[in-house]
Amino acid sequence: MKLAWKELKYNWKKYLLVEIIVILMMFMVLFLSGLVKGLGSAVSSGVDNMPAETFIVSEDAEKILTVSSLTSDEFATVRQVYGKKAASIDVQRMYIQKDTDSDKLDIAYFAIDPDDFLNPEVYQGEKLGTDTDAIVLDDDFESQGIQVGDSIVDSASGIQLKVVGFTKDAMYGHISVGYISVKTYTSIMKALNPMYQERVHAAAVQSAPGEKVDGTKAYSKAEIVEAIPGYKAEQMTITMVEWLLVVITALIIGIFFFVINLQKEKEFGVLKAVGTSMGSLVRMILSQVFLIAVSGAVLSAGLVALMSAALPATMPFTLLGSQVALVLAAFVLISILGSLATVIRVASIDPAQIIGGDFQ
Amino acid sequence: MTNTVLNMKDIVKSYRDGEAQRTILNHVNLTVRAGEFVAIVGPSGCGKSTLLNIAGMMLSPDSGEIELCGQTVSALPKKKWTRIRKEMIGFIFQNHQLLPYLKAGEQLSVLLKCDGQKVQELFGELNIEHLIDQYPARMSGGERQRVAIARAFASDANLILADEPTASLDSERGRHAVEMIQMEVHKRNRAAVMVTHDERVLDLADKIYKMEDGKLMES
Ligand SMILES: Nc1ncnc2c1ncn2[C@@H]1O[C@H](COP(=O)(O)OP(=O)(O)OP(=O)(O)O)[C@@H](O)[C@H]1O
Ligand SMILES: [Mg+2]
Repeated sequence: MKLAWKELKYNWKKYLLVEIIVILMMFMVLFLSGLVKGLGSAVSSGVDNMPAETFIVSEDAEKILTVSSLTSDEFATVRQVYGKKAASIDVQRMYIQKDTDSDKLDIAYFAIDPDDFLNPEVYQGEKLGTDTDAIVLDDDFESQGIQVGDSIVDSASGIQLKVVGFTKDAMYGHISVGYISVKTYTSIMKALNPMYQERVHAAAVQSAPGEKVDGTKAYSKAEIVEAIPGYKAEQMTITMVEWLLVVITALIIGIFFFVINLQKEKEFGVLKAVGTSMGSLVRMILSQVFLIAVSGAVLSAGLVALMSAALPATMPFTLLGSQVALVLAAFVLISILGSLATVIRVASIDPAQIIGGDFQ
Repeated sequence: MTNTVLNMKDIVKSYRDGEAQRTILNHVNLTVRAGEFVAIVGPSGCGKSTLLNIAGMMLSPDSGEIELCGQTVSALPKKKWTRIRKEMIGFIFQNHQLLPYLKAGEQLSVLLKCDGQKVQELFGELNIEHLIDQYPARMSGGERQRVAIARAFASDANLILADEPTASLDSERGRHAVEMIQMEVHKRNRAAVMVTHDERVLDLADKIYKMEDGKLMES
């Protein structure tokens, strides 16, 4: 091992070059990893963070909450089956304004019964109560300059809503969520359409699917999240690019080591001639690859963590420790596999060449 | 001391040359005792390096037997050869072949696990103490070859093999290097075989063999 280290130190310029490339590439990989998680939660965190296991939607809804519609009868039956473990949820995309002449902001209303388990925790202000026209907002709106106690306007109906609290990580399809009571929701809908019939979009259930209710279908939370428009396409594309980069980076290490070690054939010949076993040579090569890969992984993780801290909160970027660890471990593993080409090459070097042969 | 270190019996080696079979070594015998410094001369291409490679456990003969310190090593499987080389043979190559990333002292201590005291002692004897912490790139050719000589004697190997150790040096430095080898061979009671083209250093050898037409003859 001493040999491996001394060689790294002596040829530090070459290896530094490899290391820098590895760090930059892995930085890119981890950045994508943060982005894929961040975008994912920008699409789904509102649903993800609901303390529910199962969602019940209408049969023709294709798992999409905004499309689903349960009649009052259907929801009543759901309630009969699950009792207080089922809660109604309405999801509706609308616009709000800070006041009547400021810009429109996208919002996804989550209409809930404040007495149900879906009522979110707040980190500032108060939880949603039974007061009409109260709203609890995602923290994104706070960074847009809205504060607890402010009044905001529902653009379509002109109804004033009072901000009572802020919750975290509530997004649906890239839009920040505002929690309102079913009563508030109904009054908004009635203002838009006097013929509005009270109904609910879907039901969230705290347990596994039970007895089937006619006209409805039960799905797990993961299935509902995947069906949110755009979620799957985004996740798949970015995840694919991410893993492609992991493999490419590992291959780059493999190729670099192959080339660097090609230039050292004579040295390997000498090492073999003076009695260094193939086992030690393999350990020498692998420990060098391991060191370069692991230090590159650690340094790039550090860089990404620094950058993540510096990024504005509105940027959809979430570093998940387990995800980072998985990517880095896979990278180190593939790098080591890639260096086996070098090992095979070195194994084929004939020490006899060193006496009176090619290596003069 | 008359104990035999290297005993090569009836060594035959031939290479395929297109259709024909060229016999390079034709029933060669060579015996070297401890404390004996043997030189081999002969025309280019006659098989000197081949003989050294066979003696050095890097090439297998077509037939014949090799004994090292009384042990028949030619019968051992190839897997064990590396170990034999490490424990029983010290090599001096034509072009020093020091590892560029090890300091002179480390060529002995890191590579061959030679202890510091012995490194000091060898470097002292070869007049290169001041080079212990120097990288090969910053030494002269003669200095490098002396470090290479020190490396060959660093292990407890009883057999020293040198293939044209003076080829990359001018005649004065070349002679000096061979003097060093001779001194260490006698002092440490090792057996050494040196292949050389340099007639002027032959007087330093205890025995001179001439190689011609696949045969080895004492001269
Ligand atoms: N691997 C090989 N395959 C085929 N022929 C070989 C091989 N190695 C050596 N030879 C042949 O064997 C002969 C002896 O080679 P060797 O290197 O032993 O010569 P040498 O006496 O050391 O010559 P020199 O003084 O030039 O170093 C040469 O003619 C060479 O062409
Ligand atoms: Mg030769």
